[in-house]
Amino acid sequence: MDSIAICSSDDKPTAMVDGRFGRCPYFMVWSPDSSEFKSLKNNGIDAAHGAGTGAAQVLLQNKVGAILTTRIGPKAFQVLNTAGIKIYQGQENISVQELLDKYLSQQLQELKQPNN
Amino acid sequence: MEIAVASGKGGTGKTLVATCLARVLADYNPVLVDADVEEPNAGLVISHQPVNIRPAFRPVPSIDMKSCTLCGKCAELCRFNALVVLPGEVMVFTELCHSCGLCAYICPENAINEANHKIGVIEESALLSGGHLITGRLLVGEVQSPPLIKTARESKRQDSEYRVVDCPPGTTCPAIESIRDSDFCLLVTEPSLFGAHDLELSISATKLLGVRTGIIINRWQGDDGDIGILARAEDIPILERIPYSMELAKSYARGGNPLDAMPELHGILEKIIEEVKERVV
Repeated sequence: MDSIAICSSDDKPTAMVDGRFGRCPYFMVWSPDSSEFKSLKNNGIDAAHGAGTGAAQVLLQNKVGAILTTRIGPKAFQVLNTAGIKIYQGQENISVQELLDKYLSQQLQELKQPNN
Repeated sequence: MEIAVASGKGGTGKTLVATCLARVLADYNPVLVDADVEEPNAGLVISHQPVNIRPAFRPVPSIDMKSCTLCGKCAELCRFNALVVLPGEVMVFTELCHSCGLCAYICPENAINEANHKIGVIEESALLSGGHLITGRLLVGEVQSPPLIKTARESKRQDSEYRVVDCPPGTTCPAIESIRDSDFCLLVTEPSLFGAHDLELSISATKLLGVRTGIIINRWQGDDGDIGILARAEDIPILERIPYSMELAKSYARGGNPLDAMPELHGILEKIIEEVKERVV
C-alpha cells in the first residue's frame, strides 16, 4: 500500500488539518508499512506563483499514493490525476490523525475533479 | 525622448494627457504607444488610420521527449513551478511560465526548446493629427502582459525624437515594464485621498527604477491638498495643473478633441514638454 499525504497546519499528527493544498505549511505523510508519520515542509507556501504545481511535484518525488485535501485547484489536480495519485475529499477543523482514521475506515470520497 | 505617462490610481487622466501630448507634438511626427495592453483605449479617443497589425509572441518551453531523461532539473529550478516532471512525461503550464528561458538554458540534454506562444497583437496606425499610434492588445485569456508591453515599446523605435507611452495604472509588473528606461515619467493624479495614496506608491516605484518624475494634477480645483504635501515630502515637482472642467469631460466622452473643449490645455501641455525637456537634458 502506498503512503498517504495530508495537508497540515503543523509538522505533527495532532496538528489541525489545513484546508489548502498548494499553500498548506506541511504535508504529513503516513506510511502503512511502518504506521508512522513523517513531515514534509511545503515550500509552496512562499511561492508567488504555481504553489499547487510545486506541491504536486514534491509529493510525486516522495512517491505518495494518495492525498487527503479539502480544496485543490485544476493544475495540481491535473498533475496528480495524470500521475495516477488518488485524491480524497478531506475536511477541516479536525486533526491530521482524525482525518487519517476517517480515510482508513473508508469514510472519505474520492475527488473526481478539482474543487477550488 | 521617451515620456511615460503613468499613475497609481486608474482614471486620473493618463490617456487624456498622453493623447493630447501626441497632438501638441504633431509637427515632430510623434510615436504614441498604448502600453495598457489589457484594455487599450488611446485609439478610442484620438483619430487614426490603421496601417498594419502583427501577432506578438513570448517564448515558452517545448520539451523534446526523445532527448528528455526526466531528470527533473527544469522543474526543480523553475521558480514559477511552470514545469512538473512525472514518471513518464513533463507537463508544461504555459500560464505559469514567465518566459525567463532558464529551463532551456540549464537542461543537461538540450531537450528544451523555446517555442513561440501567441499572446496578442501589435496594431500600428497613422494618427490623423500626425505621427503614429502603436497599440498592444493582449489576447483574452492570456495572463502575462509584460512581454507584449516590451514588444509594443520596441516598435518604431527609430522613427521619432518624441515617444509618448500611455501606461497601465498601478505599480505591478505591467506598469513597471511600461515605465522602465523611459527618459521621464509623468505621474498624473487627482486631488483626492485615493489619488494621493496611489501617487505615493508610484513615486516609490519610479525612484526604484531611477526614472526622473514629475506630477500633473488633473481635475484641479484651486488646491493641491494632499498632493502638495506629498510632492514636497518626496521632492518631486508638480509640473502643471489641469483645471476641472465639465465641458472637457463631456466633449472627451463624446470622442471630441480636448484641446478644442479647453483651449488653455494646449499651453499647459507645451509647458509640460518644456519642463520635461529641461529636466532630461
